[in-house]
Amino acid sequence: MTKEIVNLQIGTHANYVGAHFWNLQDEYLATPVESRELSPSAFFRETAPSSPYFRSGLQYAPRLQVIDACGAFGALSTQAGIVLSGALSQQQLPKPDWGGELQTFIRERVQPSSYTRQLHREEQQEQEYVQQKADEAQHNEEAPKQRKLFDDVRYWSDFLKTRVHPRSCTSLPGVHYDVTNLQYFSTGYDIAFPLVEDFYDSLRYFIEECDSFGGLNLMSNADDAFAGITASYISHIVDELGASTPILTVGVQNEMRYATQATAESFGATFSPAEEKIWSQNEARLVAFCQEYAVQYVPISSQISRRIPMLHVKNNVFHTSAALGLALDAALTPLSQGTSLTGVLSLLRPAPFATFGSLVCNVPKSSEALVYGKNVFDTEGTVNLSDAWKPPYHSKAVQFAAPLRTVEVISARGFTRELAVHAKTILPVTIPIPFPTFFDQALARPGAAVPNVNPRDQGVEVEHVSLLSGLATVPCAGRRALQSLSDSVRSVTFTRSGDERARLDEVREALQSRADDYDTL
Amino acid sequence: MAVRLLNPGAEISRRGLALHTTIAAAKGLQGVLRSNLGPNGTIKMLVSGAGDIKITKDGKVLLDEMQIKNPTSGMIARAASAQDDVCGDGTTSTVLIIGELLKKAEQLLIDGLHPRVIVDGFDLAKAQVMKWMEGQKIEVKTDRELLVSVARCSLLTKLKAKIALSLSEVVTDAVLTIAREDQPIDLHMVEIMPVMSMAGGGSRLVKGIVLDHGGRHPDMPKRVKNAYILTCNVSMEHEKSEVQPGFFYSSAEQRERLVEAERAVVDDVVRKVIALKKQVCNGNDKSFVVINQKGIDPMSLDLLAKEGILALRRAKRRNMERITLACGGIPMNSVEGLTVEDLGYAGAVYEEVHEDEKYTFVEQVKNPFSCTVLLRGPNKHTITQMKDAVRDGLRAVKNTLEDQCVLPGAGAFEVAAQSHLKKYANEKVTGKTKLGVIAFAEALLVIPKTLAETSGHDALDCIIKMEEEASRGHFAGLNLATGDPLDPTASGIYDNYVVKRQLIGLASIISTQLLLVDEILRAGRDTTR
Repeated sequence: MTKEIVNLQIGTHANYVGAHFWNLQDEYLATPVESRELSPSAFFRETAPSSPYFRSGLQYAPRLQVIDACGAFGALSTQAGIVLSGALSQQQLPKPDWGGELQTFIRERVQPSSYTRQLHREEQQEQEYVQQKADEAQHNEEAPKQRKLFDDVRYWSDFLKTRVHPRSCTSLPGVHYDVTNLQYFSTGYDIAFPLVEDFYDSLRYFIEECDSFGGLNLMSNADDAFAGITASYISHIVDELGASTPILTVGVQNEMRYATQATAESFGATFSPAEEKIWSQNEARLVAFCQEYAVQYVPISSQISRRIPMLHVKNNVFHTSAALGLALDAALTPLSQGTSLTGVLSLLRPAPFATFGSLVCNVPKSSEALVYGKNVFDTEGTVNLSDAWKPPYHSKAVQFAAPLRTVEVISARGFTRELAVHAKTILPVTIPIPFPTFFDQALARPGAAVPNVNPRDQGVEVEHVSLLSGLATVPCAGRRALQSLSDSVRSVTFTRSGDERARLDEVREALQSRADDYDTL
Repeated sequence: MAVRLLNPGAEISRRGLALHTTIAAAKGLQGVLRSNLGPNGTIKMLVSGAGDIKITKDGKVLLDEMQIKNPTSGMIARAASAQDDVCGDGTTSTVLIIGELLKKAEQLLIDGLHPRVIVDGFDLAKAQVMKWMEGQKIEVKTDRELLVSVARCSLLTKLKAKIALSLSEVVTDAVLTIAREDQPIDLHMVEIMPVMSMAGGGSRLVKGIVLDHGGRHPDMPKRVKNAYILTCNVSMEHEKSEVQPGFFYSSAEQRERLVEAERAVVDDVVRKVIALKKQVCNGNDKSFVVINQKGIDPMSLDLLAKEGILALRRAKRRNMERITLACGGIPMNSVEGLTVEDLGYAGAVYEEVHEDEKYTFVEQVKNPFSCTVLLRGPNKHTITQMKDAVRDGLRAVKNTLEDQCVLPGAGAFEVAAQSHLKKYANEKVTGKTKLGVIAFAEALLVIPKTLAETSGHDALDCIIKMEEEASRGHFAGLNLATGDPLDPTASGIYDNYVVKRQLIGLASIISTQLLLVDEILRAGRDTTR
């Protein structure tokens, strides 16, 4: 029996990654029950059809709480899901029970993306189809569907396929997307501090439902105010659930973050030391918090998607987060196979904070992931669903027509610098992917060269991954990463008050002592 | 100029322009919230980009909904939010007074007064009002009637009269329930439980606890009477071993034994609870309820259900505290050595189901120090509105109990303060500073003026009538229905002392700071991105 995992996403960037992650989980649901290797109950709650929110059949909704700024949800209403109708007219609005005058302010309607519209259309067709007789339905087989995935992605909800439970969405009062300055950890910490108790009510709703609660999978922005919100929330959650509850915190780093001058140069980007200082300071404080509460922290960065030379990765958060969503899915597959979160965490335990590499090395095959990845990564983002999704939507297993070829893939990145794959230290994982359609040479980014292996590591036997050669992993980022984080805190000249300075000193001490502990191991 | 040397790209607004920008922003924000004040203010319906509806009259909620980009407005909004954080009321008034103070200052600036002189006047006036306030307090004993009036004044500005009237009794009783001699009032001990259904009557005070979950086993009783309540934080869940758990066995018998051994630990806990139940409930009409902060897995639920025990899992930590305050007993962290003294007691525990959501009521408790305000409403936005209002109402009652005094409401306090300040300015203050004190006095009148405007009366007319009445030596508030003066104490219109005090202090600090801004720089990175 799989243990139930409750998920928590905090921050816009984390939600982009999360949306891809949930789209993948949604694909697994399409697998017929008898051939399922993965149990959906790890991440999904089953909803009886009686609920008016889900119209027919046994439906699944993720056990998930999403926290974001007001307005970052796009067309996704926190009360009613995505509503397709156009602007609300005055008549449709409810009449409040109030004796006096009423003033109405209607913000411009966020139109649902074309992808969401199409999903709704297909769903309607599916319902009609269910009503039709089976033999009539046979004729419906042709006409492959194309869904354009990111033509108009403005918010993460624009490409989220999974339907979320009405309790899942939590917006931060007084914090507005693209308006409120969310640069500093302490801003977030102060915002969240009075709110966490209310936040937890929604989360507890999902936890209470679990017959055997397996732990919390938390994903957060790593380097802005959302890190502060996460820290404040974690301290409350640990108090509520008790310290023995396994919690995995995945920190999603800013997509514009390059960590070092050298890295930035290798991508032809400009490195901004001032911002890097703030980012690493924020992350350091989150890491220190996670350590205080014994919560496992795993940083992930969208740089890994940039390192795939075959792809046209525009500086587009949709694309960069896709790679992370994919990787996260691969890393967390064991949870759907009956491994407990405690088990996954215990594999990470030796390192102060393991990187993705060590998570991924625990991964079995996950074929659907790659089909999804293929569609996301495809040249111009047009999703050709002819082979993967066939109408009626949600009813067929994913099939591979293309010959499978085994390619070794490791997706991970070091904490502040990347290293090559040490074949001896870490077992590269094998994932079968359909070749050559997945990474067609024609899709290669112009001028992309296979990056050089760090010369320092040349003495070690290095596994070159044939296709995704750009991806590298740190087998154990621990000591050095901690040191560099701790250094980053020291070098920070930016402080706003003496209070802040004192807190940073605490963070530095915590990190330093942890690094020292690690040395003695 | 120095900034220009350091950073040629910096934008600088010099004094005149800087002050103008600041004052314009303050007036703008005042304009938005102006219509909000008082029981007759307009209610606002906000529809978000995704179609979410919010209905509110609360200044704090409105400020949160506004996307404020202007730094001055941001500062005022933060000050107003701080007001709400500290006292739970007076957000709109803060914004109004800050706006009015700056507006009055603007006129003086046009006349050629230096901002520093105005600020000095404001500071004098503030100190004087603070001192004078002490003498104006209406001392109160813990008198339910008066507390209800205070709650009513707070709620009437946020809810429809009918609902406000019934809720004001509810919030007063709630605070009186949790108030204990010689202990600070902890409003966390009042749970606000929204139920989205109108079935089963309106909102009410439950002297006991309402939990938003129920038993997770179909055979568990839905309604029990005379219940012992065990509040505990003990895992009744089967914990799996860390990595890949697996059974290795060679015969069915062996497998059975392994399964049993695995379960033994959890079962042991459950058995101890059952043993206690048997001990205390044997041969009488008592029943037994377990409320656990940790999980209870299906096997344990099954065992408990067989014994007729109602068991709730994953209660929130705060509720563990509330339950023991309401029902008695001790929250247990272990089931070792449980005795009947550790148990709480409730006359009735029953489940209600509304819209697929289960609620468990723990009622008829003996001597509760914790209670629940049950809010019922037809839809989410109504409930949110009620919830915000009840929170503020609770704060108002708590403030009164802590201050042991109130101030007259309905604008009477402001009118009296104004005439006192003017008298003070004429008698005690010399020089140009006097103008600042008078400006401060006049700015206070924005509250009664706005109250008159939102009720559709002529503001000047009302103010003059009130002043005339006040000059006879007693408090004169505004009768919103007629526009005539009234005696606030006779009509039971009171404001919190702490709210007014905080308000005056905060508004004058922010406005003096803003007045002393003589350069606005925009340099460096744009931090709004």
